[in-house]
Amino acid sequence: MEWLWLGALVFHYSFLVVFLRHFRFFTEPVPAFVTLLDKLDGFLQMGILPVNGLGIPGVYLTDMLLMLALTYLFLRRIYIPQMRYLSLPADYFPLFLILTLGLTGILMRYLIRVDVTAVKELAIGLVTFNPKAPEGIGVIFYIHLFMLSVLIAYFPFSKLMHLAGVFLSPSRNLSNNSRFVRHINPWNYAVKTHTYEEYEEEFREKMVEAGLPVEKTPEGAAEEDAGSQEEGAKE
Amino acid sequence: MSDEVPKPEELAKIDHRPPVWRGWMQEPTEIRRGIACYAANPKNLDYVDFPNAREWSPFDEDWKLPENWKEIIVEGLGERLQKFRSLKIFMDICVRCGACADKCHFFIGGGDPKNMPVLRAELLRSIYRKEYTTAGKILGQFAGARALTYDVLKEWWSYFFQCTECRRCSLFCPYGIDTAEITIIGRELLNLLGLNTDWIAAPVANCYRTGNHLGIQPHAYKDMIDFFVDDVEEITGVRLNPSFNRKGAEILFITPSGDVFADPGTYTCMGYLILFHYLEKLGLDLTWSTFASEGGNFGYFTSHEMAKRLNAKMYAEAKRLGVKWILGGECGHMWRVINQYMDTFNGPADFLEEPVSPITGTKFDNAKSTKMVHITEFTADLIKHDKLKMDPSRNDNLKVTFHDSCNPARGMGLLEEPRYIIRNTCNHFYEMPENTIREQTFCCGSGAGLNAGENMELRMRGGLPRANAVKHVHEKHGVNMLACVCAIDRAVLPPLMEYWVPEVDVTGVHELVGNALILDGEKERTTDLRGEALPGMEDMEEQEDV
Repeated sequence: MEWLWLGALVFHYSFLVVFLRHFRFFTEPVPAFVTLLDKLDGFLQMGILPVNGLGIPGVYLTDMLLMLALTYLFLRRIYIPQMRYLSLPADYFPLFLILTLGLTGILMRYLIRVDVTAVKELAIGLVTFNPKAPEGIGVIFYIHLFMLSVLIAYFPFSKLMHLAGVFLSPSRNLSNNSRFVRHINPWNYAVKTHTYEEYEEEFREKMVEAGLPVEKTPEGAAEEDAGSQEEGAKE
Repeated sequence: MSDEVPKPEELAKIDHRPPVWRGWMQEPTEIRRGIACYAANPKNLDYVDFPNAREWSPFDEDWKLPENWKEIIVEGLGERLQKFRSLKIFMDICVRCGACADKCHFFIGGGDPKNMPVLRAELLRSIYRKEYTTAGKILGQFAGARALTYDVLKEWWSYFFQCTECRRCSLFCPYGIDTAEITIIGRELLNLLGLNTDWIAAPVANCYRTGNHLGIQPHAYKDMIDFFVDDVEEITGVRLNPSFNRKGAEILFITPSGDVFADPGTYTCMGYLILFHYLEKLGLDLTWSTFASEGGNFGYFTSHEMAKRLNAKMYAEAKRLGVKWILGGECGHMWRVINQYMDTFNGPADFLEEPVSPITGTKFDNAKSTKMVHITEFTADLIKHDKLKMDPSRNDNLKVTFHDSCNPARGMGLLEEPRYIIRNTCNHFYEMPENTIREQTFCCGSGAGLNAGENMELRMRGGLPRANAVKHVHEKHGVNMLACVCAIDRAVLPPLMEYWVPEVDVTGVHELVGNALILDGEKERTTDLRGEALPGMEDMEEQEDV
């Protein structure tokens, strides 16, 4: 199970970094933290083609980690019998969405290059509510954009809402202090209870006989009556 | 123990692999003897005005439901989604990551995949999605939704009564999804249709009427305690003098009725009595109550409302007697109710005072709103202030390990106090492996009203992980005594031990205190509270026998 946590943490943090890095497409000038993140993430200068430097820019660590983690999270659902049994289509779907999103992104950056200046023009057009579609970006970009749109649309109706839920979960955001801090329930309502008076009414004779204190002392006659009835019932 | 329970060697063969191709929604439900409990007797439901009281059996085809049962369930669920943020969120945010899957004692010991906490919750979630989410309505099974059918209802009944609400799974959930909360709501919905087990319904009705689960009437309650007083006198030579329903006492003591009724809880009860007697001369002014004669709350295993109705008598009795605060005995789910709900249910307890130990002057700030202190907090404080004269060597025949009861440990964080007491009353204490104690403790397998007799197979399976850990320390350190702070534990761990680790016995923490505590004017003790020879006194026993 520790592997699950490792996979999930790597996935979530990589996804966050990838998300933040994308701000360079939406902002002009690009904020310093995005540039910094870009540098840190891309500090490994590796060539992934046999010929070094053949059109391969700095490889982002998080690109690799994201895909690896996603692949792991997907495979465990298939290979672990319990996971396969409890997984729903709704669990595979977001994995596929994000995998495709990642794959098209990676293809665009490393293999099927697109016109980044045009992409940025489009992106800034979108965030400034002044959309335009510059020509010659390439189909792969639109697949990427479509996957993203589906993800955003699917988000609020799905388990992806755990993004909000993780902060709302009462067992995570409430402290266990209800013995020393009073908590009010707004819909608390009165309930029917069995009062001490009803209890004593039923058992008074026996209580008196056993020497237990009572609120109302029974009358002598009533006591004998009830006593003999009780014994009759037992027989 | 029932003959139907397979031998341990048989039961230990567990297959954890679920079917390869068929999804869980296609898996039919089987209500099996040895796993399921008997249905509630109608008179017990009637007594507390629960709906649809009738003769029925879970093993029959027809469960005699009202015609509009679907409507009742769907509306009931809707109402609870409005009321409980926990439920609403736990319905929405599960990602089925499987972190909880192998953490449930029922799954570990039984292998039934629907006992993986995630699936237990999915049983309810699937209906929630169908009835209350857009995606579920449109996408159906793709979104994990399914229609509410008779079979689904039977499945709920089966699996919500195979959960002890121990919350171990919630500890491992990245979102803190608490399966106990889901089981509680599931059972609450089932109770709307009169679907309950008698092992829960009978104690509820009893507790409502007589003040305790076992239906002990006031005179009998006093008789039983008097009987312990005689026993203690025989063993120690000191006559105790407990008081009942006494107005004007400073402290009201409430403990589970199991402690006055069944071994080995009775020895724990003697431990309380000895401690209270010892403290009398130091200024303890305490009364028992025959009305508030139950710490536990089986109402909590039916609905929040019933829990509140039963819990009400604690404050009511404290108010009637005019005490300053309440001391509570060793119990499990009793403390979840007190810790988490009591003040909200039936507070504010403004007629009580913030608890202060009359012996040490310690203010129990941690209980300043509920005004109810756990007896191990109270006793640990006494030991810390060196108020108790004890002879731990009287417990030298015991090699003790401690089972954290789920509710005090995970529910309220009571981890150190019982250990502190054990270390000061015993010379031989060994912990079980780290991932089976404290917050990660394994359930006894019989909590939340599952401690019936007819579901013994389920109990032995559910208790397997706990028993396994005990077996480990038994083999490694020779442990022969399993201590706990829960009345249900004291009732159910003995048969569990007998089944899996027969060499180990079960005790409450205050039994150890009772043995070690040196009373003023006591004679030389030759036996412990169980009447067994003290270490070094074995010969004395024989002489006496001759």
